Amino acid sequence: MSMETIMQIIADNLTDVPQLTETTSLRAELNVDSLDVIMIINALEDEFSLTIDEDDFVEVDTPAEIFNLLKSKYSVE
Amino acid sequence: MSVRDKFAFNYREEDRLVRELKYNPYYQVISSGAGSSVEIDSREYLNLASNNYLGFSRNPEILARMKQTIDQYGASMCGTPVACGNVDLYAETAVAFSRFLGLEDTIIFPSCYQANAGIIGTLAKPGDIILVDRSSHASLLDGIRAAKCKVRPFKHNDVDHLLRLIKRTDGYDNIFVITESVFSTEGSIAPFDKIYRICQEFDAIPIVDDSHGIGVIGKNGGGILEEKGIENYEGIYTASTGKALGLAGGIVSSVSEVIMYLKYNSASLLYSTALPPVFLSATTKALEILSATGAELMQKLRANKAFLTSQLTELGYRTTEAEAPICSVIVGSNEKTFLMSKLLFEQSILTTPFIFPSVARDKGVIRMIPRVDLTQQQLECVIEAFRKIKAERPELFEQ
Repeated sequence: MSMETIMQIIADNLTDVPQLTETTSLRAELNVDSLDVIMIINALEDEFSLTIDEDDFVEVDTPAEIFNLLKSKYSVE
Repeated sequence: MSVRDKFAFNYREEDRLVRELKYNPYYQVISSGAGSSVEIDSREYLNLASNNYLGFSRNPEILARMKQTIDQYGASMCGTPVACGNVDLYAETAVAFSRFLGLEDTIIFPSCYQANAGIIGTLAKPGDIILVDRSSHASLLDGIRAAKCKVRPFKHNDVDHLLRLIKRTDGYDNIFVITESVFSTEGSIAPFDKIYRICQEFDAIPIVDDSHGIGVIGKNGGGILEEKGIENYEGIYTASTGKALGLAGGIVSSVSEVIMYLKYNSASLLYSTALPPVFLSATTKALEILSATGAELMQKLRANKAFLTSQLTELGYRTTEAEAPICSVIVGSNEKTFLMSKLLFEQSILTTPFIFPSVARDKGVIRMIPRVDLTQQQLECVIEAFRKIKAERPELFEQ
């Protein structure tokens, strides 16, 4: 797993993302809503063949936080 | 803190733009009916904002039927359909709608918002899964939130993505696939024939909202089922009668078992005062007129759209790749989109601006409904207004 992969998955599942960095706030800066979050979770599940608890995403808001969550809780390498 | 203070804040982007541009396209006070021209502040405006595609809200035959119904039934039944609101016109309209669509049975709600928001939570249970087009209307999304079951959105009009998701639905009791037929901001039409085939393959229940499709697409205005050649549709169909049919109300059509279930279980039907008789008889009349003249009306609608689109393209404007008869001009940022709407308004043209987050960031559009009752002279006035803006406001077109 790389940060680039995470950012690519996020960008692929949102419409016309202008600029995405590791610290972009998905909710505040990109107006990501609950359905967007579900789409991102689904795509991450497909990419890494795992099942993600949607509640884990309540606290994460940036690509870096998603990366860290997947690494620490889901042991994605 | 007083109640006033608690809500005395302006947080929406629209509020900022309204203040900056000293122009508010929302809640315009209109002093006339929804004709091709409307009166605002004692001035006449070309009305490209209304969803009155076929001009039915001013159709003399429909108005005559409405006057006759008011004389006979009064203003309202003052009751829910299940109690004392089930006027005989209710059944007549349901039959007329079912026949028009080629479906078994129909129920009528006070609005399509109430239909969509109400039925999904009634039909879908916690053990079910809903796959929904990401760009679906707020009424469908509100209904889905009420369902309290697993939800997986698929990318807008992306059948491959839907297929990938539906292959991962083992273990759920029922699979629902939900979409609109015509996405009205951009005018795209859902690939509903393909979506329907996927539903059949995976034993899923399709729900399609045809609010901007009925009376707008299909050779005879029959909507998405006619447009996509779908016969003997086994799914759930919803539509507003407040758009091309020119009236007010919402319908749900399906097999009789679904309709019977909803009649006794859908709270938004059971606890809402029934649609007044005047709109029921008018709906039946509107369907009669659409059945008789739909082909001609659809030709005119498509011709108007083609004229506007081709002329605007020639002027250098970009329009969305709309398959439906809707003309949306891509403007860009929120500021530019609002300004474009204001400049058109100053030339007596009423349009609908859509800005982020209703559309993607910097993809703001000006939507125009190329209604059938626009004259060639009126269409040319619209083009002339855009020509003038192009010549006088170059900053609107800078990247």
